[in-house]
Amino acid sequence: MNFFFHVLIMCGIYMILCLSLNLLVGFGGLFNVGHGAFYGIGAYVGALVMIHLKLPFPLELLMSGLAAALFGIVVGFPSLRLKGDYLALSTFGFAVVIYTVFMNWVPVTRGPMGIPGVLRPKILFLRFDSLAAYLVLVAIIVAISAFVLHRIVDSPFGKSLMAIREDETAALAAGKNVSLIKVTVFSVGAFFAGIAGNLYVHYVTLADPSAFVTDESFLIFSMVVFGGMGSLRGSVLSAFVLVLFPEVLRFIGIPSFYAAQIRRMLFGLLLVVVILKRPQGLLGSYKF
Amino acid sequence: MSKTSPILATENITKQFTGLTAVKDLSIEVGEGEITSIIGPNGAGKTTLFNLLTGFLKPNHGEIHFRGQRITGLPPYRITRLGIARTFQLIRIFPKLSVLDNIMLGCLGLKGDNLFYAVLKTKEIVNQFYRTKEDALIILETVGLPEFAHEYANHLSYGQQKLVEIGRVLASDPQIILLDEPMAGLSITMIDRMIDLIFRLKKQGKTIVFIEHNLGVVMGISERIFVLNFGQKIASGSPADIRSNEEVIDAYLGI
Repeated sequence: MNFFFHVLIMCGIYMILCLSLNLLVGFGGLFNVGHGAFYGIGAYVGALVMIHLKLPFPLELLMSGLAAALFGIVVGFPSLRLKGDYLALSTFGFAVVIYTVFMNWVPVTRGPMGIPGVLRPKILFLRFDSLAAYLVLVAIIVAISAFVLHRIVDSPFGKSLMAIREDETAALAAGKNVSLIKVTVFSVGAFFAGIAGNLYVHYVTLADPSAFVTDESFLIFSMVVFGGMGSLRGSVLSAFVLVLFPEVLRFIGIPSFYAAQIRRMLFGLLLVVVILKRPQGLLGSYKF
Repeated sequence: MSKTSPILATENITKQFTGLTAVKDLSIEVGEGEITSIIGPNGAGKTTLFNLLTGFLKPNHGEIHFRGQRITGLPPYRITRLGIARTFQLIRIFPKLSVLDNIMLGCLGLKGDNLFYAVLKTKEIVNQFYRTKEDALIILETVGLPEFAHEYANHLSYGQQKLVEIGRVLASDPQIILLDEPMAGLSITMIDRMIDLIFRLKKQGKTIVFIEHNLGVVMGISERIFVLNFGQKIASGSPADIRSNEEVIDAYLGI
């Protein structure tokens, strides 16, 4: 049963990551392949705030999000000048830098040892120690994130964002403040990734740099492509399927040593099949 | 020129690209409610002039005034919000959005365009959205595409896409409409529709400035013509003045 809860909690965390990245990539056409960096920032800020400041959990969660959002604004600025592959490269560079900081800023992050001793959160008298309770907390935050992101995408603001994806010059001519919209969505996307990072660090109770390697960013990006760029439902489904998928391998009796490699191979295969047979992703309707 | 002061005027604007002066010391005045056209050979600086007027380029020298207000160097979205909207020589629409969305994206002042209001989604915002949708449908009637409202914009023909772009321009309720080669690539029937549309817009009180190579149309509908060559104004005046101007005949008409 606990294993089942574990998988669902990880599904929830990846749902937030995929939904928020989809806002940038699928709706805004802003190719961010460094989403894992915002995720990591949220996790480390969560761990540090909990250990050093001991703030109430909701406040700490918010700080994780805001810290990531701040970095989102910083990374958003290159997006005003760089497009497509070039923006992807700059966000990738950012992810590498952030990972390097986690690994080497020993006085603060304790480097490769990570920050242990992160506790499960409590809100007033409610404690989320058991996996079942924590799953409920994660589910609530996933629901809120999905609701907010859906509102954003479904609004005139969301349409303006899609207009920028379609034709930036035309969006400018239509009176859209393109720069402001881009930086705003970068910070919103980063905010939710930061929230996901906070949930992750309270779950595994350790801020560990190896969880935020650049592979992580690619994984999230692939999940968004798999589910369908510009489809929030696709992101939810994709996070669910792709987090569950390696666990299924374990069940059919493949030793865990091989499972990791096989998982990567199958994941690659799955992605190739989807791109060839259904370029818009599982539930997407938008073909790039 | 009209009796009143011009709605749009440039004073000695110059735009230099490395090694090339695209627009040189150019002063033009556009009268309110008039149809003005800009003609000249390829590379004369017509589109550069449009880009300067709409903020996509900043002039090296000179000033641009809109209703007496200095708009030189403002970013394009602010110029659109002030009431000067444009189309592009190569159509620029939002291909994978519906035609209706394309039009609605031109509407200014939607509260839901602000992130926080978008998330709040109050009744007022929803109501404003539906009112805007009604307005957009009326604009679709105006440009003659009501049956395509829910079609993807890139599924339409070239001429229809041009109308979509003009629809987006109209959605911002501009005072001045700048059209970059509105007739280019259109069939004869489509040209008639476009001319008819321009006249209806004029009747609504809009000021229209357009770049065009179809001289039949230019001479037929313009009240005032500016002729550019090598970035400079070589003539301006009524169609009759232009037709008989020696320099224009040499440079462009080539009769």
